[in-house]
Amino acid sequence: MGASVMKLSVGRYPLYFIVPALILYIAFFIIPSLSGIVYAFTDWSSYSDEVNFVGWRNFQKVFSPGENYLAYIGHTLVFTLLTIVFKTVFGLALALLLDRGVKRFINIYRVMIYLPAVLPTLVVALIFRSILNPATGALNTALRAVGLDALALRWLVDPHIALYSVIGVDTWKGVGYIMVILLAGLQTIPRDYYEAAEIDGAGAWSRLWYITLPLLMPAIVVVTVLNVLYGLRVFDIVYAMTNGGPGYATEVLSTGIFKAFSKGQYGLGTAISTVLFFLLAIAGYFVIRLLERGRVRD
Amino acid sequence: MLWFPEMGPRYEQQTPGLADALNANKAKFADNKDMLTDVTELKDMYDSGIMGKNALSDAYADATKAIASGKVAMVVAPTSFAQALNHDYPNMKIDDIGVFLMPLDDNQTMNINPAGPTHFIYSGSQHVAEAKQYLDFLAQPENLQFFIDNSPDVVSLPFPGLKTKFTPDVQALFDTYKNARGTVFQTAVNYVNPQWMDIGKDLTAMFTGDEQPADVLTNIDKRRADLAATAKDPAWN
Repeated sequence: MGASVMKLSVGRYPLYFIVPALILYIAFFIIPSLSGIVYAFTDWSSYSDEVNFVGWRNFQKVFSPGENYLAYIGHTLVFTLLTIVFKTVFGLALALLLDRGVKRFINIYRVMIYLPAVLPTLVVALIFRSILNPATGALNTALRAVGLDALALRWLVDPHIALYSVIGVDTWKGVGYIMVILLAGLQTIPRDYYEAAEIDGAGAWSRLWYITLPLLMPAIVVVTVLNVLYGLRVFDIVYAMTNGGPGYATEVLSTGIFKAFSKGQYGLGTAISTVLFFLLAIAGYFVIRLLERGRVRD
Repeated sequence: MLWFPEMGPRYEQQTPGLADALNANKAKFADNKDMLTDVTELKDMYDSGIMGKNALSDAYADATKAIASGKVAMVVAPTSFAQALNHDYPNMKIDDIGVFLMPLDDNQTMNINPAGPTHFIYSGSQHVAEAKQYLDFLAQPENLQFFIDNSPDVVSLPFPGLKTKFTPDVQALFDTYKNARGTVFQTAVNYVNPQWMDIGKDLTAMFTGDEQPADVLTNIDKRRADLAATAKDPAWN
């Protein structure tokens, strides 16, 4: 009797309930993705109706030292790594401040910090292109006004710092989103742990390191995975701010894909997309494995 | 970017048949000394500050403002620039703007781009005949003239027998060099226009010191080969 009641209360649906969704998923996601990988081994282009198998030629081009694509991969990885670090650190700092640090106008601060995340990326990019203009931009104008001429850099024009300028803008835009996720995670941590730790004489850093971070690990896993996936696929903010320039200093994989398709080199474009796909899969897998190991289990 | 391919007539003048040789894959950009001189002199102009301190961030969209402010003495611009300047800043008179040829590589040839406004139709469409009738209508002399007369940004079209809106200075320039003209290379040479942005990136990298002038030309040849192979151009097979 007890076993029968338990079986009914689980409420398992027949397998065929998921078939329609599965069909749509396979038709519009799996098959196109696999087709893309197959096309990466062809000379598919806009110039001809013929599509011929060319083996690894497109991938040889992508990984050739004579081309720029290895640099694009490097820029993408630097962008991803730095935005993960900055967004997570600043997001956590803001979440801690808005969880228990700040007492008044908390909701207004939360809205203001989150607001850039909902602005269209193109709008943000165009505004910051103006702000960061080395001659007339608001940032350099302000720096010169207070005598800090040495800090009035050529933000988006100097090839040595352009990528970091884009990273800075992207961090500003995305930190609010990360903050919201971490704030939600902070608010699930029972206050009893902190009270007990304070009674035992634990300082702020100890409470952060031994209580907050371990119990916040599920949320940190989520934000890290989100940041990895976003960073590796970044396109719009780079394209709108610098179009990959100056020169090739801020080109990333997605801008490379866009340009290959723009030139009608579809086979090459899908090869770069395939490289990006495998990078995403590998990075996502290892990030989740690494961070799951540090999770505190209830 | 314009500096380089717009000097096509000069390259052709120094090496007659160069455009055809490039299209037949019998010549290379990297082997042409006039092109190397052109990009090297561009680099020298940038390094000497002739392009200004913020050449890489200045936008052409602000060209009329820069000229009107008096802080800039020259811009590379189309033949309609004086009219555009007068439109944006009525206090700047059309006669205030002079014009001269691009001075790189001792150039004394006029650069002409015969391309004009373009309409496209898919080649597999069922209405190709109707599209051709429409284009034929647009190409009637009276309609072309109407287009010139009523478009603020258009001063001429690449069809004979039309009355242009060139300023007296621009017309004088055309008249002076009527026997020393040529087609710009982004139109005369295959696989240059599709890599316009890439050439611009190479020139930018050259200005910032990340590439040498010769590298710019080598990269153009490499991309031409790529594009020709993609298009299955017989000259490259």
